[in-house]
Amino acid sequence: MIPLFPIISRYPFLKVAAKVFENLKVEDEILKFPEVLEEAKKIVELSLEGKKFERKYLKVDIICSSCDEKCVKCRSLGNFENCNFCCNCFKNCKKKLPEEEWKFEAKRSVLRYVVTRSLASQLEERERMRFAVVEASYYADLLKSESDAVVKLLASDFGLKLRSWNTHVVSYVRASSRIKSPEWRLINRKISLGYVRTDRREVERIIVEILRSKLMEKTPTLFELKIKKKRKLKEFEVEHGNVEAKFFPPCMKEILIQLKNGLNVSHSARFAIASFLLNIGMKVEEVVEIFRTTPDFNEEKTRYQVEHIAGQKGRGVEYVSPSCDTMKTYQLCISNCKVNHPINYYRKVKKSRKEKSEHV
Amino acid sequence: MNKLFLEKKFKDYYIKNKIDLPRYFEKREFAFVPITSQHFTMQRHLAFKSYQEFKSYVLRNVPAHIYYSSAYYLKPDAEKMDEKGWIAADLIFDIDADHLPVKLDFERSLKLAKKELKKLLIVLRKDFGIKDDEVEVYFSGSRGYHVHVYSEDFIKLNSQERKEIVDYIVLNSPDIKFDSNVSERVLKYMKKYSKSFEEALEKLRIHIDSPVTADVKRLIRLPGSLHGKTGLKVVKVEDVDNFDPLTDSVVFGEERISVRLLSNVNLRLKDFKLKAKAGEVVSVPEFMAIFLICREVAKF
Repeated sequence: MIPLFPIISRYPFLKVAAKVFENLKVEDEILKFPEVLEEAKKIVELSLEGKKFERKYLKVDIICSSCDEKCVKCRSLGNFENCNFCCNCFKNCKKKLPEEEWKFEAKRSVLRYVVTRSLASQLEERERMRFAVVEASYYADLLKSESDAVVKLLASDFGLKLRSWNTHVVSYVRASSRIKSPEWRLINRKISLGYVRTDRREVERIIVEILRSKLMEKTPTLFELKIKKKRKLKEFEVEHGNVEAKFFPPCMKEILIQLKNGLNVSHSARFAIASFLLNIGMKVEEVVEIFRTTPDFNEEKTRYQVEHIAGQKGRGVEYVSPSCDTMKTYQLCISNCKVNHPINYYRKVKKSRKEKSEHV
Repeated sequence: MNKLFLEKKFKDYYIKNKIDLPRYFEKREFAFVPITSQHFTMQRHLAFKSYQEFKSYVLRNVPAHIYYSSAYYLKPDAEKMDEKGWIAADLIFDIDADHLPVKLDFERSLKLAKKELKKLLIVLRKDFGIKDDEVEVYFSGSRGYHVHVYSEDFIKLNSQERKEIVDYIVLNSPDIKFDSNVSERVLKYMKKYSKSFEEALEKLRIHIDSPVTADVKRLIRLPGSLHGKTGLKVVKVEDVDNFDPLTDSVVFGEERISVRLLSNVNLRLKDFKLKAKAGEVVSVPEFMAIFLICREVAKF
């Protein structure tokens, strides 16, 4: 087990962590780690503001990768590809390692994770989604700096079948069916004898996607802690020359509020709001700014896509924002406004309000 | 009279023949449409612990159609779907002549369905790596083929995940700017036959009934049972190339029976060809008579 402790300290959500600490009595142990409660609370609170909580962990890589000892006959030894976590290799480990210190750190991390999940379970679904997005992106960053062996160990722990960095189609669609971008669709992929061609970066993304949906799930309540939440989501205020947010239809307002609050907004919603704002006269640069608050913001990509929608790239024609029917299909329609297009709502409301104020 | 005759014949079949129930049958839901039912009323949410139990049910209420769930449940006989406790479900593909883009007569449309079947089996093997012993193919007893995939990997997939596979099979709006199997095939076809993108898609797409594959709680016609609209058996296809659905699924005898035709018929079953007009009384082998009566194009 010992070589696993540093990994568990970084990734306490692993199934193997639950196996290593299967008899952990959270309620008792927590008394020995009083700071864990505060940290867990901090993690959840910060996530609601779209911020990550940086935590301490053991930076040691799996020592097996650099060890010559053939402690056990196993195909997964050292690289952890499709490892089944029998842990026999670790049982024979004769290296002199700071076992107590490592175990202590790993346990602390597992406790913090269990408490964090328990706290997050008390949030509303929308907030829990934000928590999951922010936490998953914390681990996504951490994963980037890991050795190949650690990434494969995580993949094995998540039940992902890999062959070198290629992913078995069943493991692949577990993640890809949740990712709304064309390059992830199975149909746009190279696939041979059950394995989809992927690289390490994509395997990391698959792990993170599955982790995100796992973090969305509720766990039993262990502690009732008061989570500080901003009672109301920040309202969206924008005045850009002629564009006035107060005249926007409810569907577009909702998307803007979600964006402003750092929620992970679907691809179709992003397209809808971007094309809508461009259609009513906002500049590309202003629209890009709107997306700055998203958890996965990438300025270059965003600008490219907004320019594309504006017709400055690709086919050279500005896209028309989705009609009410289309918005309904995407489940983005949240009200019955009695118009057939969000743009019409905007024009109508703007006109009638303007007329009113002129006549008063 | 016609229904009584069919009931007797179907009952004989179920007395004389043992039906190999599907793997883990105790965990599956069964459903029946009795021959005597007036409006195709289905009896659902049944489960059996043994073959004997199943057989005695069938002999008591001789069914025109027998279905079982592709899904395995903790409680297969629970009345409400969300109380059944879904465990997993076989991955099913349904190739039905009715879903093919061209309308042909029975025999020719089955030939077309077989072409689609062969395309599908190649993709399942080459792209999806499904081994021959993890797939079973059945003639549906009427207008098509059912492909059952039992691979432990695939049975756990949820509906959303299965849709990714459906899109791949039916070529649902691929983007050929990506380096993919599909774009490779489409571009190769366009070049070789100088066809448009749409024409290539139409040619290369495999015509499965998409909702069947995406559904993780589907009822499937039971292998070994009789199709109530044809009297043909849902039979396993061992050798796709040499399989003749209109011979290999025939179970009833050769004894001559006279029936009156209600519409024009032009049809072959086994080596017997029948071409006759509505109103004629024809003497045909029992299997043909049963087929015609099941299809309601003939009566005594």
